[in-house]
Amino acid sequence: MDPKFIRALGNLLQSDSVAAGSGTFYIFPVQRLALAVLCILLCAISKNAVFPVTVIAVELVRTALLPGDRISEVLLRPMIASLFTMLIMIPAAVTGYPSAFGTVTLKVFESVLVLVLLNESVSWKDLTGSFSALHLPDVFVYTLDGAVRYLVILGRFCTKLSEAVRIRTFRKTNWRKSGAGGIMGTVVLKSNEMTSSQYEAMVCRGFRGTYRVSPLRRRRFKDLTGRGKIANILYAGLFPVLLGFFFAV
Amino acid sequence: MHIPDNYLSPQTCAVLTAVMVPAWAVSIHKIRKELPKEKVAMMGAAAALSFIGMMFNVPLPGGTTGHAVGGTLAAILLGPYAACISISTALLLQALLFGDGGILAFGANCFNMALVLPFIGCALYRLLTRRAVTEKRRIIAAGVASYVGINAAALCAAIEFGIQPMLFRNAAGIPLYCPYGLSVSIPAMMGGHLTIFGIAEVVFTVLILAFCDRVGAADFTVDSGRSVRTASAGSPLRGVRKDSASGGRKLGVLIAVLIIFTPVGLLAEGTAWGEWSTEEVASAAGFTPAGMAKGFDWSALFPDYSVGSLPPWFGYVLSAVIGAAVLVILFKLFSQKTAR
Amino acid sequence: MSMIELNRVSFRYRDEQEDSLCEISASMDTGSCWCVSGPNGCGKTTLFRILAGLEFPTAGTYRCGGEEITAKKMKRNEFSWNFHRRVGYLFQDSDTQLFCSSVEEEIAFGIEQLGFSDAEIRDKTDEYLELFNLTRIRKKAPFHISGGEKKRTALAAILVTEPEVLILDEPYNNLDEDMQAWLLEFLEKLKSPERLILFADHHRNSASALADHFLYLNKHHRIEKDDAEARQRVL
Repeated sequence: MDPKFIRALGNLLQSDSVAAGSGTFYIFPVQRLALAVLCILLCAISKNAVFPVTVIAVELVRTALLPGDRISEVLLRPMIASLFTMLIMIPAAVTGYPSAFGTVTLKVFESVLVLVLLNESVSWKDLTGSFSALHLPDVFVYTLDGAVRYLVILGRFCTKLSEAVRIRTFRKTNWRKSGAGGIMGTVVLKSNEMTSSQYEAMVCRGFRGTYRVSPLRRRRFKDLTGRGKIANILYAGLFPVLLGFFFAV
Repeated sequence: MHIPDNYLSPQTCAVLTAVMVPAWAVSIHKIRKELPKEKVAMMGAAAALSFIGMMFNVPLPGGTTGHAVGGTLAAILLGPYAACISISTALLLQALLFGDGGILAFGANCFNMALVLPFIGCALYRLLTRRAVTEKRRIIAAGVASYVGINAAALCAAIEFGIQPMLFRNAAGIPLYCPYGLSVSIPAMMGGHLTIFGIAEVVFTVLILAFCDRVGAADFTVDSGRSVRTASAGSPLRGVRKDSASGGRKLGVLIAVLIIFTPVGLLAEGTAWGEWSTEEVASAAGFTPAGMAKGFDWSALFPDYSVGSLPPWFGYVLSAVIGAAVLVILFKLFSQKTAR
Repeated sequence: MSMIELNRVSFRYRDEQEDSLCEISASMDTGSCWCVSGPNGCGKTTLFRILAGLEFPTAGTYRCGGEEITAKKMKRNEFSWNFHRRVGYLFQDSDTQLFCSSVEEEIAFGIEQLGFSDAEIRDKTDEYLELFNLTRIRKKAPFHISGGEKKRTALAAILVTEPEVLILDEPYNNLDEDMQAWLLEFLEKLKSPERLILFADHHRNSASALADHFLYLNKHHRIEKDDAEARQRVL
């Protein structure tokens, strides 16, 4: 793994700083997630370009409403993804399926855009937290959270290490050759140390063996304000609309 | 007024594009230097308004259609330089994605609608509102300026059409490109624009300007940063000056409402003058000009604002949504860039 | 009877030749504040880990509140829970101490384990966020905040359960001068007849201002001097 890649992953998870969770129009992350998944699913099985194009139009409007500095980041990822798809699909276009070239690229663009906007509107914390609302065991949430945490911390650690290697290397060498083994080994040791000290930290604060998702993260329907309830009900109405539209076109 | 490909000779297109390049350069320079960042983002709204305005086709007896451009409106709101770039971008999007207006003729279309129109409209508007004037006078001035502006643009387009048969013929004397001379093109174009289409432009400009004034979005009524006078003389007329964020939001609502009503533009039957397909030209002129028969053909993603097999109204709305969103995004990105 | 009683405690890590702690004896009462100092590697952190119930003496006994702390007893969840709610331990490295996905959850974790109701958890969390000036970053992930903020979060997370024994391993690490002054003032306020505070420190000024008992470990992992002498050494 390239440190740049890890850094990019960290940035992807950074979006929690713009966490939208507490406004009056709080939509349950489960709903958002389910709608996004449904969109991608329907798009994948749609026979023509109409459905993906419609979804793209709606998502573009949402993108246009974002602040300027977020827009470029949001659009970059689906663009890169569809560019890759185009490259992969070139043989199809050449061998006589030009329409497949267009639809697949379009579908990839749509799917990635939907996911990126989901990531933009919901922080990963709320997203993993929303799994508990689906009655998944809390340990599952704990594991997901831990994975994200380790990804960021170890990624940073890895970047620092490779920087240290680079500073000490006088000739221009590929860092992969120069010390990748050592770096990865150190990272494994570090992660080992981190897991044991994390357990200790938990025990020190009275952990008794069963993990419960924090009540601060849990939100129940009855906790919402009147407006929030209406917003959620209306949002739920999008599901039949989407399905109806899909079967109409 | 969107001139398609192959109606103008490549030479004409080249000359007009050559005129546009410095115009764009100067405009961008001016915007970078003079327009504040939030206003740059507002260019997206202006471009979106113009884009949608051009989708409201108005019919004329005799089977031709036309539409408002909103060039003077953009020039009044943001200054002529910003208007030039806004409308050019809207035109580019129409040409690339929706096949409205040619790719080769892009320079010519920009010359008419993004250079002549906003600059003449804006000059006239400034002339008419030189002294501090009342709200009513301002609106009237905007109406007059937009009327003159769109007609100047139409005249330019008519001349571009009309000189084609004079300049470009084959050995047998048959026109290579647009088959109609000045004697036909000028009356045809001006007939529409002096009457119905001109009124459409006036109505479009006046209504939106009044709306902007009312919601306080006219906060951004600056003449390219030069006179704050118009800005302060604008909105507080009713004593309420809303913050420009809420004004921007209301402008967004206006755009959304306009988008919903775009299918009205489909009611106009027929094709605009000078925008026929090759077959339509052949049946009308009696022959197919050689330059058109085997000319440049761009296959747009959504030709004529239609999407696949969908009902036309749906494709139309979808096109408007995509167009408006893309324009707003583009100018938000652009404002981000200029801020750095 | 003292709150903490160490009787000739020695400790040796597995696979090591040498003791990390050698025959440490001390008795600490509530209402006092102890400063543990000594050169690097003298065993301060090891001593604290024993006091926090994470390691157990290889020889000698450690009693907390009269009860001997052994590995066997600690394996029992109830016993461990009862012990840890009374003893708060601030790690030297806050990165390894913070494991939740947001600052507020970090603070809520401890009281949640104590079995508070949801409403109480919310109120108490809000109170401590305010107290430690963390309200602005309450939704942020602990690995996305600065060193000082991490330290404050960790402190808040420990103090929210109001432990009787407070063990702070180099609390001044990674803090700028303003934050150090703030922490000093804060610890001063924490002192109470019901609480025992221990901290490891190099900073002589802050130590002198805060502590009333001193423990100096030499590089042979022994207590070098008794209280009065250690005080002289440190001050």
